Amino acid sequence: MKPIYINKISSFDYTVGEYTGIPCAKIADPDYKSIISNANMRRRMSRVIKMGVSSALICLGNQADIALDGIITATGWGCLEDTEKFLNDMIKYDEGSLNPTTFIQSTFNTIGAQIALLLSAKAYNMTYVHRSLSLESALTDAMLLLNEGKQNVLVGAFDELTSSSFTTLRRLGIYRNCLAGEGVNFFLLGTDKTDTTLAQIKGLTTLPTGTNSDSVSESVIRFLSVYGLHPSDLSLIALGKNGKLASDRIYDEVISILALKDASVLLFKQTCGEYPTAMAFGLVKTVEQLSSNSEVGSYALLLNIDEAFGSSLILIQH
Amino acid sequence: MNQLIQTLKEQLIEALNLEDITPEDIETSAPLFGDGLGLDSIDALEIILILEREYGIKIDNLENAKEVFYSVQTLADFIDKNRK
Repeated sequence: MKPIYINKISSFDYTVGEYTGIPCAKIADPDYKSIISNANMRRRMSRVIKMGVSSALICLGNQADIALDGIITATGWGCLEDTEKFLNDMIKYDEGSLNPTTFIQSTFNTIGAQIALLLSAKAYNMTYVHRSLSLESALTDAMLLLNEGKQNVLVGAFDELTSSSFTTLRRLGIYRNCLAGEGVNFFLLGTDKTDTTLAQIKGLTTLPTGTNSDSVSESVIRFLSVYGLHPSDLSLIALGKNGKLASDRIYDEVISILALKDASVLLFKQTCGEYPTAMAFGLVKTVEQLSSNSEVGSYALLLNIDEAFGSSLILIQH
Repeated sequence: MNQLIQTLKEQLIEALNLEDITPEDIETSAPLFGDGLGLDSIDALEIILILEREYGIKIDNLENAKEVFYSVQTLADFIDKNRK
């Protein structure tokens, strides 16, 4: 396996939003006009598309002309605002003629396509919609591409929270005891270490559904052993604890079983809330914390438990 | 006719999400596509929906589309003649 480096990252700050008086984690919208200069493209973009395209452009920064070998995006929900508008219009106009823009922009791969259009990037372009394992699928694809000889792959994850999705998911009990959230993050991955390299992705794996603390702990130990590591070698562990009693109990028991030695614990969902690709924000915060507070060569592990759709582990080295 | 032109400009701005543009910024006789406002084929479809929803004009086959969609003035003339 070739080394996979995270050469650049981008993330937005959060602000406390609210729906029907209930707080949630919302992206603090930047000045999109200053980031996406093409007004004709910008005027058709919904909020999540602006968020995604802006994040990608910020990630590339002054390397916007870099030869990308792939643009891979991940989302659990897709472009909800346009989807909701399109579906509402279907009812409002009795399934008559519908607006083309909301239809075109409602598809899951819109953001990957808009980035490619803006950058005139004709390389591989793929979007993964695998619920809470969307980011992991995108990263796996990027790592396979890079191992096939490609050099630079842009990977991004996005999910937006809307009033309708909040109301619906809340009714389903998704946000019971946990903060609703949204997020968009991008990563420039490459096989070459550069001046901007922040960390290396050593490996990632997914765990089956219906996990318990014993099976997760065993999976962590087995996963680390592949890289010749023991839980005590970790400097940082990032957990997807979100306030839900059942999964939080598993996290606590796993931490106890692993007997970590001096590892810092990062609870990233306290900031970004719960959403399908929250691991992307966890990855950003892990990389930032590891690269600023830990010695070169130190390791961090990200663990996200989703009993319904599958859990995941990502190992990072500074 | 002046009221129709003013309303049409407001509808175009809203439907096409034309940022930082007011009705006064749109020249009534200036081209909508290419030069002028720089609209494209997707915008043409959005304008067809304005005609259908706001003025009851259903377009199945518009042979003289290029002339009708040329400017706000030509669109307003078309609406004035065909609205229900």
